[in-house]
Amino acid sequence: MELQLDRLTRKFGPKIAVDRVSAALSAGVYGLLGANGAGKTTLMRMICGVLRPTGGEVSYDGVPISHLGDAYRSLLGYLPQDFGYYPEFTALDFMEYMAALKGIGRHDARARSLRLLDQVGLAGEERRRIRTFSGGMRQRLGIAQAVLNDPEVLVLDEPTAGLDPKERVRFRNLIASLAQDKIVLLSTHIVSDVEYIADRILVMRGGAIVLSGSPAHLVSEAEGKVWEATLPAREAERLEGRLTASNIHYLDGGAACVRYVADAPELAGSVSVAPTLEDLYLYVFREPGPALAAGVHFKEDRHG
Amino acid sequence: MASLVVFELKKMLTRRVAAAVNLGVLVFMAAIMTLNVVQTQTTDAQGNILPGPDAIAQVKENDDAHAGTLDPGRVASDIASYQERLFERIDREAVGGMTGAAVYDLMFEAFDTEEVYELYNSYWSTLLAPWRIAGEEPAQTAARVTPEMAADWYGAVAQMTESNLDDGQGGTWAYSDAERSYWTDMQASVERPLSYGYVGGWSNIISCVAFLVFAILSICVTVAPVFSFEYQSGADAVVLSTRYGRSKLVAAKVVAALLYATAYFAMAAAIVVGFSLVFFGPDGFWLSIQNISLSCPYALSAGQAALISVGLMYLACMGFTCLTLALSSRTRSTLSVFVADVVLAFLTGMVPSAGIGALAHVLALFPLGFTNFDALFSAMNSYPVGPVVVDLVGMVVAAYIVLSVAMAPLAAASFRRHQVL
Repeated sequence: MELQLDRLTRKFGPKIAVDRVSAALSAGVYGLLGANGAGKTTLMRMICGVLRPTGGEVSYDGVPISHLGDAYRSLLGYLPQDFGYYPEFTALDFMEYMAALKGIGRHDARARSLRLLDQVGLAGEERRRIRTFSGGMRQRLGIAQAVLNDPEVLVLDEPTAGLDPKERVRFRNLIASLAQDKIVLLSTHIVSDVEYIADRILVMRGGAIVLSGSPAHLVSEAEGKVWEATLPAREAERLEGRLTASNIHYLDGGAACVRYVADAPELAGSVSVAPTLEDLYLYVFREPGPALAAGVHFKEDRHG
Repeated sequence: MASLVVFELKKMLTRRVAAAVNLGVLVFMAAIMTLNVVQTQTTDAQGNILPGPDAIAQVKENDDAHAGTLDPGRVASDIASYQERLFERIDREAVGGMTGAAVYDLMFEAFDTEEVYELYNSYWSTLLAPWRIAGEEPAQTAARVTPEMAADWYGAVAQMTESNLDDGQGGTWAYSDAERSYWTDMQASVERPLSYGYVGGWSNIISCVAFLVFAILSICVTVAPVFSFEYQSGADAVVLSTRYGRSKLVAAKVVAALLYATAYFAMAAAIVVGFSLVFFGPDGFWLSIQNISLSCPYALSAGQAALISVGLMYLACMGFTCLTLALSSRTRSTLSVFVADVVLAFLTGMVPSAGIGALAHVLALFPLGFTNFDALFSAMNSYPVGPVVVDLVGMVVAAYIVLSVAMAPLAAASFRRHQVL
């Protein structure tokens, strides 16, 4: 089971949304991190075959997905960002409709739909119309439909959007339980969504994957680039705009502890601290210029 | 596949706008047909105005009184007796120089009311139709008819076709030799002698079939979101990534739309046909279409003509459904799809042809263009296609079959190739 992305490119007019992305994904959970507009959604749409690349191709076990057609789509589960629903359908209608589209027999469809609705916490809501659902409930329904066919490739685009913190934790556990023996690609711009469940993280910027690796490995990339300094609170507020601060913690006595990312300490008394994935994310996506340079550097390091 | 069709039907029909429009149009059509019955009026033998079912019964009674085969002998004899009754009391020579209104007044002076209404029975109008000049009173026409002319009544009927061909639709259309021969041959094929009788129910269906355009628009409202709502709501990404998203789903959408359109059209047509046959009666299915208009060159019965009218409207319905699907598959805006339908189905019926024959022939292909008796069966609208002549009925059939056959695959192909941007 391997999904190969070979110089996958998508242009919209003069704008390059995805720029020659190459990767090989085997079973495991992949977290796709990137700011809004980084190209995550476009990349996922191409992987799911709903958007034709302008260059390169996606292959599954060596066969281009454009040749596999229905056979590839039968292995696929996809939760798009802002997924559309049919307002007058009940949750069960929607699940059974998706089951029919996925080629699941009517009897199986009912049983699987009820089981999955239960699994995503929608038991007892099967007969409610989707238009009466909260954003979180709709998102859970979206996740349930995505795994209805027990897909080998599960693509989830911003699946935690609209979920409250409790639901996010529940969602992470759900993904972890569903991810066995699957290629799960999960996009988000919220680092904590993938920090604990991703086996590998891909960081996108400007349409390209600029970093990839296990969370621990990526975190190590930020070693020596995360700093903490204690300074007067007023001074911390003044510097907030200039620094790439990941946290400002106000202390008693008018002081503040500032945690920031930079290639070298920028405040007097700064001490190097252990980085987290979030620090790395901030480092890659810091504005202006230097971050991009860093991105290119990482890209060149990792993708030649 | 069957379950996908059911889900697609459910998607279409549970939308609130669609449900409201579908129900509203059926109620509206029932109301129109009720008014059609209630507002029917005629006068009885005493000159009293009869409304609704009483009027229908009176018309039927009048027609039944003269029902029978119009063999040449009977026609000549009936015309002669009509002339005798008329010109016993009014001056045959004088009426020719009078205005229609003056002759009408003269009739009431010379005859009892009961007699006048009998002399104005549509049977006499039918017999005198071959010689009638527009605006003329029956007495004026009768004054010009000689026994020799009456004896050749069927020749005069055939001459009506020739005169209409010479007239060229008021000078707007020059019939080619092939067209002239097409219509002349068709007129010659009408079985003789004709049978006279009551065909009110079938005639009313032809008169009211245009109301089915409301059903077509209701269908367009329901079908317009079939593809465009997927794009608009973002559901396209979900469904197109599924196993059957680009194959069976497309077929299911088209099949569901056509099934729904057929079922809904059948309900609407049942209202038009049902009201007509229940209130006006099913009598005269096999009586010739010339009972509705003597100049009609078609060898059809009134019932067949009514069924053809409804059938053509069904084909138009299928054509519009497929066109709507094709438009829906190309745009996110349901409203723009519907506006296009309204323009084609409704506004084409309001565009004047400005005396341009070619434009009139094009406009006649749209639902409001062909859904009247005159355009479809009497006006001799023909389309020369090389050496072949196709009449309006054939052209409407061809146009909507081509539209359906072209648009349904276009809709399917557009959705299959759709890219989620």
